[in-house]
Amino acid sequence: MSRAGRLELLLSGAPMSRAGRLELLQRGLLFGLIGLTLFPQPKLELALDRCASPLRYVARVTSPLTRLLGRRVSAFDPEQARAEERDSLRCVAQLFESALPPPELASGRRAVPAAVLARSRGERDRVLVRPWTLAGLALGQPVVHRHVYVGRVVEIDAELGVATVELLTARDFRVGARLLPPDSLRALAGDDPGVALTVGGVALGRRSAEGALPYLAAHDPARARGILAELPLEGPLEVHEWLPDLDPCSSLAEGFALGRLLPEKNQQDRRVEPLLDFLHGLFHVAILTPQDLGLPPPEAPLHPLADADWVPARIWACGEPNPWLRCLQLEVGAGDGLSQGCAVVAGARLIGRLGAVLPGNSEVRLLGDAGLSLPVTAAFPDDPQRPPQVLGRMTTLGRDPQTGRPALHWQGGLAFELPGAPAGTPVRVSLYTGTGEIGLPAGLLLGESYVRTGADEGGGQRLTLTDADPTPGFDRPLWVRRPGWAERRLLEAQP
Amino acid sequence: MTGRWFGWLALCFWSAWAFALEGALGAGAHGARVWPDLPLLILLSLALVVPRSRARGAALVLAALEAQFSAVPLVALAAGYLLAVGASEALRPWLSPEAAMARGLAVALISLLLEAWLRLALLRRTPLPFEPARDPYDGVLFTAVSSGLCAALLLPLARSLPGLSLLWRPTGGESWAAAARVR
Repeated sequence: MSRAGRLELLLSGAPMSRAGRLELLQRGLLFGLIGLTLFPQPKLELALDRCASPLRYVARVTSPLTRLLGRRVSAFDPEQARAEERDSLRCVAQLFESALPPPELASGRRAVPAAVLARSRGERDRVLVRPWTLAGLALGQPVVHRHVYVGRVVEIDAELGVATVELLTARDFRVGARLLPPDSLRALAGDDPGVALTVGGVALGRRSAEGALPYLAAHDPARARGILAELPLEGPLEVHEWLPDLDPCSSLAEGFALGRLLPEKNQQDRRVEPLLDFLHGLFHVAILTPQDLGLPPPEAPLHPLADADWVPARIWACGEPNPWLRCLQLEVGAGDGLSQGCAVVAGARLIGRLGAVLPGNSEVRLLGDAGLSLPVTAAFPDDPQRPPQVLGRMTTLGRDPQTGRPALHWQGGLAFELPGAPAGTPVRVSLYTGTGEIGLPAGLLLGESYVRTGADEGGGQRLTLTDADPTPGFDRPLWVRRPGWAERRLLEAQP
Repeated sequence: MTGRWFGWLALCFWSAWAFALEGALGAGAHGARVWPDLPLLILLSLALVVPRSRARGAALVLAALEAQFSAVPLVALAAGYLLAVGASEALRPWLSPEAAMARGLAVALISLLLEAWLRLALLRRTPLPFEPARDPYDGVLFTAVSSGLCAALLLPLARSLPGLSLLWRPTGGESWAAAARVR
């Protein structure tokens, strides 16, 4: 029957033959699948994946091929693995240490280190942090990173052991500030309080370059009266509450840096250049409490690699049939308490994160797969005493065509600077995961790479992991991070 | 009917090995893929001799099986293989056992379409904000050419893999005349 004839038959409402109905059904299925491919519906796709999952038992007849390949690859060096674990431990300890205030700002204050877990309920200007202890913590206490003011505690969840911090970038956040006079005038200024302002929220003006950090907003400057009255409104700002009695915690934040006030173009555009990347560069912070509470110093939590929340995993499919993807299939799944995004490690090395997780099966997206986004920090193997530097978020770009090793894009943000190194110098770094994502512990090694010093004008840098194994996981046992009950609760609360 | 079920099982078995082999080759490779799309060759080889609805069934089985190995979504795989079966119907005169060159060209074209479709599906899901290390369509042509070459030489043999003949050879309740008609 011709196509027009079939259409006519369909429209006439006459009963169709069984073959005709089947044909119509199959065509409808094809168009439905095309529609779902072009306009993805994740829940429906997950349901379909579950329906097809019994076929994995058929697929697993091929697992001897993986074992055969695993025997062929034998790059595992136990000594190197132990060294990597030691370096990872040191990296996490240094990260916490580097977030503590310097000695001149630490006196009279007790600093409780805390790791940033995630944005609170997806809000950009609130972060969830896990402090080493909740003892002595109270609402309103300031949160800092080294000498830089970050925000204040607005919520404490004693059951989950986490606190919520409102960041300086929040629209309604305000903190008192004063403009520091130039060094040459400080002695002359004496008790002159200088220029008073409030800082908080993000400035509306344009950024210096595409991808650069947004400026903070400064409000309501009150001119100085003395020798500083004629100074331009420009220079470093520090926290200073002019009415400290209104806030019992304000004295704890006194003297912490806010950024640099830039020369104003108009009255409505007072911008402060931030000292931190509040969106992607906030990994570890310190909560300041009064020192006279009589509390013992907080104890460091266990390193993520040392706790019990790891599930051993075996690979049953060693590769991805489609060559532009990089995935593995594991014999563990949702039944083992795993969920999407869990970290997969070999020793202290992160080899990837879980993609789709089904009962009894999970897929690992390796670092060589494009589109994986990770918070990253850089340690300096040539100078182990130098504290690691937070780099922010990196996105995997797939495998480098020449070497087969994973390539990453670093968007930048704050300039990567090393004393004595001119701009553009390549610096050898070991890249580790940072904090900021629930289920992804900090301090997992990604690999070594070279980062160029200096600002990148917003274009970012492309890095290649020079020592990453192109075929990870075949030669040593894999472990998957299982979220604890508190992490699961937090994950459920995330949008 | 039992024989047909064994045929489907054989299709799953051979396709699973084809997918696993592709995965193993891909795991160690750095550059573009140069090996043929083996499961597609099995599917096209079958599509030439089985009824249309059974060929579409085979496409869905292959998609469901590949989804066990791959991060490509099942819906994209199913649509891709169904489109490949549709294309093989349209190009059936070219796929005849006598014309090796035309058969190779037709399979290369179908492979090209399938690869492009799957990559389009992936880009729809994870649009990359930055330029990836390799072009998303890199290697599509290599795969198409190697699949075409392989099809020119071996396509009719793919359906002779042990057990697959149960899907296309007449079993108990089917006449030779019916089998000849679909061939």
